[in-house]
Parts: sequence; C-alpha cells; structure tokens
Amino acid sequence: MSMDVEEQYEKIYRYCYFRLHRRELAEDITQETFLRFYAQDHYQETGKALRYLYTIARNLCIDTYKKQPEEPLPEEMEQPDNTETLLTDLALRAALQQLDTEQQELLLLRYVNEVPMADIGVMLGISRFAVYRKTNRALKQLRTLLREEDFV
Amino acid sequence: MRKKERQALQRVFAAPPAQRKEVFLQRLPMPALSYRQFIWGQMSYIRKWTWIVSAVLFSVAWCSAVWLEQDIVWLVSALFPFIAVSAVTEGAKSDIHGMTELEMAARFSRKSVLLARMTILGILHAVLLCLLVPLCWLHGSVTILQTGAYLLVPYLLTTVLGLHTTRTLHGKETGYICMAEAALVSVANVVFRSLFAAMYLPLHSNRWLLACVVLALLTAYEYRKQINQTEELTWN
Repeated sequence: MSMDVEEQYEKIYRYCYFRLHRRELAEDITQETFLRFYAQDHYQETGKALRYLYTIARNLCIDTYKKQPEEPLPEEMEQPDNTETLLTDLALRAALQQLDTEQQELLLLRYVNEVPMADIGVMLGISRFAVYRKTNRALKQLRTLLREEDFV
Repeated sequence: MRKKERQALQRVFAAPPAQRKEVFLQRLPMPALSYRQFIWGQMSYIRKWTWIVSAVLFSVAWCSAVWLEQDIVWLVSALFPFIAVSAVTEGAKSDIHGMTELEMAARFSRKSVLLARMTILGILHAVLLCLLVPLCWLHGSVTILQTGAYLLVPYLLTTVLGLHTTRTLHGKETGYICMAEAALVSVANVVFRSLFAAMYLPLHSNRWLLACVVLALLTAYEYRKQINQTEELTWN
C-alpha cells in the first residue's frame, strides 16, 4: 500500500472530529474506518485508497450522528501563544460557523487534509467541476466574512 | 490559497490529539502483498533509462527495417550489448550507489527485489528479442535461427562479463566498467564481422548455436552466484 497510514490516520481522525465533535467517538470511527478498509477481500492497490477511506469514514460518521445527535461538550484545545494569531483564529472560527456544513467540509477536505478533488467528488457524489465551483464559492464567502470583520 | 490562510484553517480545524493511535497502528492487520502487486511495485523502481534504451533500440530497428529495407542484423547486434548492460547495472544498482545495507533493512529481502527486477527485465528483453529477430531476418540473407544467434551472442557475452564485474567489484566505477565492456563487445562484434566474414556462413551456424548455449549457461551461473552473494551479505 503506497499511502502513509499514520498520516492518513491523523487526517481521517481530524475529519471525523469535525463531523462528530467528540474525541473518543472520532477515534473509534477512525479505527473502524481503517479496519473496514483493510478487511476488504477484494482490496487491490488501484490508486483509489483515499477515496475509499474517506467514503467509509463519511458513511460511518453519518450513521453515528443519526444514532447520537446530542450536542457534545466543547473540548479543551491548545491555544496559540501569539495574541494576533489567537484573534485571527477566533475570527476565522466565527466566520466558518456562518458557512453551511458542506462548505466547511469542502474547505477541510481540500485545504487542510489536501484530498484530491476527484476523490472529494466521489465521496460527495458530485462532479470534479462541482467540487471546484463549490470550494471556490466557500472560500470566497469566507474571505468576504473575514473582510467584514477587518481580518483580511 | 495563501499560505497564512491555509495555516489558519489548519489551526481552526485541528482536533485534540488522538490518544489510541500508536497502539492501534501497531496492531492494525495490514494485508499481505500479492506476488503480482510486488512485481508491479518493483517495476516503478526500475530506472527510466533502462526502459528508454530498450525503446530506442526497438525504434531504431523498426525504422531501419521499414525505411532502409536492408540487412540490419549487424546494426541491432551492435546495439544489443547496451540493452544487456542496462539490465546488469539495474541489478547492481545498490552496490554501485552504496545502498546495500539500507536495502537489507527494507521491508522486502534484497534477494526478492533482485529476482523481481531481473524477472521483469528478462521478460522485457525476451519480448524485445522475439520482436527484433523476425524484423532483422526480414531483409537479411541468413536463417531466422542464425539471426537469433547473432543477436544473442553479444547480448549474453555482455551479460556474463557485466555480472562477473558487478559480483567481484563494488562501487561507482563498476557502472562505468560495465558500460566499457558493452562498448567493447559492440565494437568487437563489428570488427569480428569485418575480419572473419566466413564465420557467418551457414557452415558455422552450429558453432554460433553452441556459443549461445555456453553463454546462456554462464549467464545462469553468474546470476546464481549473484543471488547467493546477496544471502551471504545478509548473514554477514
């Protein structure tokens, strides 16, 4: 298998945490994702490992969320030392919350987890062009919101 | 997207550190690689110039056969040693670049890797030979068996010399020596043909076939010695 398993574990975990907002649950789903991925009898190195991984993770997150829709308690996160960075992060977080879930998901997948557009398209069931269009729109909206807050 | 924006997004989307990652990854049941997947994977490690040399030779032979419509077996037999040396130096790559110890610590044994790559290149050269022999015979004046022998002898001779060199010498110079041997065989082939044209009469075709057989056996012997040498290094 050509992908770095440790690196992808972190990315899948980050994605699951974004979907579920609970550390323990996100880690459970991440591990379940990898177990299901490697349990495939017909597994072959076809260059499509990432899209399978993310599709499994997404489906598991959706199923889990349907069973446990309660809002979790906020987790303690490490805060940056720099005040300017902290303020930027707070403004960015507030701006992101004004975007819809699909837009946030696109930004996470594309710019943070660096998933190729083709794989995102397969995962979300849309074309590559639609991924490009929606991602650009989300980014533009985010920048507009940040400009309104004078953070750009 | 600007670098600062990306970094800010990474901070905002950050998750609390995963606590069970190390334990899980150590116990994760990774699937075993199939033999076909292993061979396919090794193909990507073969240097591009190895493929290019084969492609160039085939192109030259093809174009010569189609456009010149002349006897090209001498041209092709002069180029064949360079095909042989590309395979020999591929097998000795780790010795030439001083990576032997590192490869011994890798996931797959050096012996498996060497066998896989030699298999791939052996098949490639066999296919090339099967294509070139009829092509050379087309406008030639000798039988197809003789054509095959005239192509195989310089190829096998270069292979034997190259394998012996890479087995007994180590270091970067080995690559250059193998290239020199290929050039020598190539030139000798042309000179021999000029000086001893009688040796290419059908009368002597049995001698050529015998030379092929002897060189093939020597090639097998040298390959076996090289494979055994990788095992000795492991034990040392």
